[in-house]
Amino acid sequence: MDNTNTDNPYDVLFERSLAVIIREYGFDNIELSAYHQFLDISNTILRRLLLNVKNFMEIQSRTEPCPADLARSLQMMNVKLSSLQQTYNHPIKHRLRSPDRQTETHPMKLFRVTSTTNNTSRKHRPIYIPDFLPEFPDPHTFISSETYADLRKDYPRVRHLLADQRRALQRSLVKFKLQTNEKLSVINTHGTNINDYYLIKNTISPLPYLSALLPQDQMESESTETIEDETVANISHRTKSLSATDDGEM
Amino acid sequence: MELEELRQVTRSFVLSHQTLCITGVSFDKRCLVGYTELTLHPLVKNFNVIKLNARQLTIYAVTINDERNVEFSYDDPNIQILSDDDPRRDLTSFLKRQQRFFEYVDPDEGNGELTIFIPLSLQQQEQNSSTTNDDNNNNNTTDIVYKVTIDFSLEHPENGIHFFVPDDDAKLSRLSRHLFTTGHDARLWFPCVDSYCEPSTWAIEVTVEESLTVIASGELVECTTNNELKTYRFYLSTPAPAPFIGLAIGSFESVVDSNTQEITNYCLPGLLTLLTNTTSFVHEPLEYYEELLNASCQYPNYKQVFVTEPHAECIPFASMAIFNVNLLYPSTVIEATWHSRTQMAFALANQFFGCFITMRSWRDWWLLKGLALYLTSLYTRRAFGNNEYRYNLNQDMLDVIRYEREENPIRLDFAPIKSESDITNVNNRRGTMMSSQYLEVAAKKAHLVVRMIDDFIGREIMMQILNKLMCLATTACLKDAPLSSRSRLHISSKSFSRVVSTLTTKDIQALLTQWVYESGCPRLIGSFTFSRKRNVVELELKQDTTIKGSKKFLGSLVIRVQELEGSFSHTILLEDSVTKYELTCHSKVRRNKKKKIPLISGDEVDMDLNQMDPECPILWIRIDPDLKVIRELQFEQADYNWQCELRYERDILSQFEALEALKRYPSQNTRETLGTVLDSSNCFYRVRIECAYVLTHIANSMANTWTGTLATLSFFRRVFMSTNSTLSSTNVTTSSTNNLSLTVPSANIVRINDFSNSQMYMIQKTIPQAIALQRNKDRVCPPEVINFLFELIHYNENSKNRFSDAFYRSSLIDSLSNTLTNIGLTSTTTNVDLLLNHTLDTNTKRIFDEILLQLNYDKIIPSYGFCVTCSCLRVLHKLNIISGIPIDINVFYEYASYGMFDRVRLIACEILVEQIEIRMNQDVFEYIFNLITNDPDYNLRHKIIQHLCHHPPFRQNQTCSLNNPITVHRLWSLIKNFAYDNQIRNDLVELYQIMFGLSRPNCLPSLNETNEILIKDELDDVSDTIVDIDPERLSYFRLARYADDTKAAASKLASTSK
Repeated sequence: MDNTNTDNPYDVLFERSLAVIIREYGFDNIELSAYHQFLDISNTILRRLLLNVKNFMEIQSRTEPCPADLARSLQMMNVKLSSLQQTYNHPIKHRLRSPDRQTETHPMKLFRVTSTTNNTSRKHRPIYIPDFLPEFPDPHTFISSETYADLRKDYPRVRHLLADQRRALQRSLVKFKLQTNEKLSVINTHGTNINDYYLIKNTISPLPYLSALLPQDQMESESTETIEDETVANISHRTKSLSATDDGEM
Repeated sequence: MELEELRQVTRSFVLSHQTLCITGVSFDKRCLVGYTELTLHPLVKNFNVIKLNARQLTIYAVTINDERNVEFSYDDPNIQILSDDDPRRDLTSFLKRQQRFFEYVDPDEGNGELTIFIPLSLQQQEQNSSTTNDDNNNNNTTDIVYKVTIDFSLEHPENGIHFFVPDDDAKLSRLSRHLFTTGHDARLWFPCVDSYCEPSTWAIEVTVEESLTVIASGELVECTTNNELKTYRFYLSTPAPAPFIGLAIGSFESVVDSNTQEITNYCLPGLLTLLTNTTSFVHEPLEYYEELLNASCQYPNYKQVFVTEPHAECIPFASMAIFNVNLLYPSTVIEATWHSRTQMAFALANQFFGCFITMRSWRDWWLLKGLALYLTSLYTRRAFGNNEYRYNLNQDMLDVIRYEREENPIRLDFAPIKSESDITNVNNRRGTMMSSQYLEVAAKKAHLVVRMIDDFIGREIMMQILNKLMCLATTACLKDAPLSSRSRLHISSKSFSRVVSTLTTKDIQALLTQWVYESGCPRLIGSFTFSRKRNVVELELKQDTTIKGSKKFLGSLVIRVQELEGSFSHTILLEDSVTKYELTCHSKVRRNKKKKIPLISGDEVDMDLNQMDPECPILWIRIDPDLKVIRELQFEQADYNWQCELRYERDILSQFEALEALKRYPSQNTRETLGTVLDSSNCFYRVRIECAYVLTHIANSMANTWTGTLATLSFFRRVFMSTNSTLSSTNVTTSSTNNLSLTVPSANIVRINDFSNSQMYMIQKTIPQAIALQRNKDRVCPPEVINFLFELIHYNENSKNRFSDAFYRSSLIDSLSNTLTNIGLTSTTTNVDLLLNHTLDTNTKRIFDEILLQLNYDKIIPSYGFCVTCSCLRVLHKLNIISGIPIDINVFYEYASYGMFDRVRLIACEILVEQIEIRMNQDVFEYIFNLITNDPDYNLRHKIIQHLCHHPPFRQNQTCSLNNPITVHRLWSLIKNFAYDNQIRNDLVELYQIMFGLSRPNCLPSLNETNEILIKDELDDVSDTIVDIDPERLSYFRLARYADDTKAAASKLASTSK
């Protein structure tokens, strides 16, 4: 809390005591302009009150005020004495507690929250939102683009898996066929025994053109399961880069 | 005019109609039985003998006008051509004899194998009627009509008809049995006048089992079923010569073209989907040709049949065409489209020029072939674009020039040789005696010449002339047209140039003399200097006439100069072998370099002119930019000019020229220019691909100073690979497998395939091959390139693609083979174990493993046309030759055996042939010879011999282990045995020439002299019968000679019968 630098020790004392009162009422923070206004108002009320007291005192031809003068002046300013009593008995009636941080859970971890979306970003919320208000929900629940960055990181992994699976399938198929079918050594061994290099022996077909012209490779690949979302991501990559390279012209 | 032309042909009769009736076909015995009836009109007075063509047939009986069992003799000299074993073994005498025998049976000279003697009773009738008619009119012989009926059968034909009969008895195999005509040798399957200038109408009747379909030339008139036998009757009202009669029988599946009902397509069982896809466009070229020629196709319908093992990819016949089944492709395959469509468009063009309008003799072969190719290329230009057209044209020209320089001169006019000294090579002969390779290149040249004629007289007039020829021919097809008008159905070089000179005032004779009657093509060497004082370009053009196959060219030539102020064309006249020209320059040297420069295309571009010579306003010069002359060009200009030309000229030929020239200028500027062109998306894809190759070439020649990655590589990464992602995550997620490529963390992964843009697809497919040719300082392929290629293979993902990636995969395998080098290969160990596990370079071993995997996998799940297998076999061969891995030769035998797909077999056989060339392996040589002798697939035999011609084990009697008398005898007996297949015999003869030259092989012992004289005498006798050119004298001579011939034959017959 900032203090205005004034020479008058009374003013300083007054400001400080007022600030203590405000804090007593539960405000941790206050804007300076509001505080100044508040200070002015308090000053005016107090001055008014004291003037009234002084007038009553003079009417009663006394030189010193007595409690009755104060009570009378307060009444003139429309303050009920009973309420004053009440305030005195329960000085901070509406004290606000700071929000309970224990209830906060972290469900976003399940949704692959990146490190950038953690507490640090929450600190940057706009100043007009008081910090006693509940926190923003995890960004992925309302910023869709944040998950984009996730997929980009995952794309190579998916491709890795896919390629590995395909290659493993190829290898095991070939291995299986080599074990079940007749095979042919590729290396001219000259007596030494090297068993690593084999080809599956051809089966002679009476109509060789049928298998050659009606290939199955396309059908096979169509039936394999692929994950949909990385294709979508891929297409977005592609359209982006193609706009620079696309050519239909001759 | 027609009479005069008819006289050139010395046949003594005219054929008006022929009926061909095949009464029985047996697939099990591979034979067919039938009869044919020819309607003949004699042209001479003493018409006592009919000569027809018939080979490998059994003739049972001949009937003339109800006169049964007429006497006939059958004499096929080509069977005996070498049966009396000539000990000399030299080609000079062989060729002379062969030509002599061809003349002996040439129908255009009134000859034939089958001689029928007209019985005296019939001759008398004729004489009686002619004497009575003689008084009335001079046209004395036309009234008499001879109907000659010949019963024949054909068993186990070697050529002419091909039976495809699978061995096993499976249902599909039985259904797939079929037969078809293999070529234009009609005499090999029925008696006929086997000439291109004897058109007649046809009735064809074929009786087959009920399950079979018959497709033949003509319109299907009737189809009747009787006792499980079906009879198809065809009638061809448009006169066609016998060579263009086609036939195909089998259980074909058919589809009628959805746009044009007249077109029907047939294929073997199981391929219907492919057929529908492949032939869906056929109506387009038909409509295009009709519109272009302003004439409709004269055949009532058109049939396309796709069969296995035909002798050529595309064989056109009258109203039908037979294609190789390999031309069929599914919609998922991209690159097959261009080739298949071109072939089909070519067959269709033949329905106008080729089969309908035919050549008069083999001397006019070039004209019809050229016209058909010309029409085809006009269509492909429309269908595939101008760039593709120009690219193909340029390729054809390069092929022609290469062939003339390295092999034989191409003389398109196939005139017979007259004297012994003319036999300089085996192809300098009659048309029927050319090797297939020669014919292939000659066809390309023919197309270029027809295009030159088109340039010379103008496109519009050219179309008028073709239209006129079509109209004339159409009138000959009318029902009441006289027989003599049928000569309009065939054209010759002479008649064509006459039509040209009557319709235009231009004479194409000089052009024909230069390009048709003589061989050779000019080689131009040019350079220029700019004279600032006079503001002219001094251009010097030299003609190099010293090299092989060159010929001085005199005529006009277009020079196009690109100056700062625009593009200017000059036409200059080449008059001497060295000529200097001064071309006025239209531009001044510029101070203000900001101004835009106008191009020929009309565009205006900004150029960076800082590199330019400030004293010279010439940007680049092009000579003969539109390929108007068949020429070899060598032009000198500064590297800056070439770079400019490549970058800004929009004509792709110019860009290719510049690319070729830039190979000589490895520099940073060249590198930048190439990079820009590679990147520019408005460039033609072939230019960009070539650019990638040149870039690799430049990088290799600059290997010592080269910095940074290859532009091609970074281009590929940028365009075809996914955007950069952080390395860390890739490493984290890498699972622990034993895969090699995973140990290398990859920043980029190639995108999943999407080939919907075919130009980008071609670039993506070919650029890895160019990249793989890169070499570093040590002349080996950099490891990063090899890793890059392996990653491409590893991450190739085609599941979301509409198109097949078979060719992409095979191209990647080709790329792997491009990385192989023999540098750093130090071990010569014979220990296989040691070699494979220790001394072999790890990358080579990795490639070897990958190839085996792909080869095996392709066997389990085949790619289209087994293209992956083909690539793998090539790499295996290269691994054997370059890297020294001892591949067992049985692997290639395995793939070469019958029963494999024919393209795979062909590749395997080619590898075996190359193995012979390198290793001189006697066993392989034997194996190849056995294939040539016995293989059921004739097309493969052709291709093997052609490949042997390209890669002979030795040339011109070089000393080597295979150059021995056994090889000579082996080859000689092969030539001897192929009596019925001329094309194979011609190719073998060419191989013989390449290996031993024209005279007696050196490895044979010299002949006994007396023996030689004896044979000489015998042959002198033959040589004076070689044709004289005077047609008048010739016809007289022929007729007289063959009258004598027949008398001799008759007396001989009579004596034997007694």
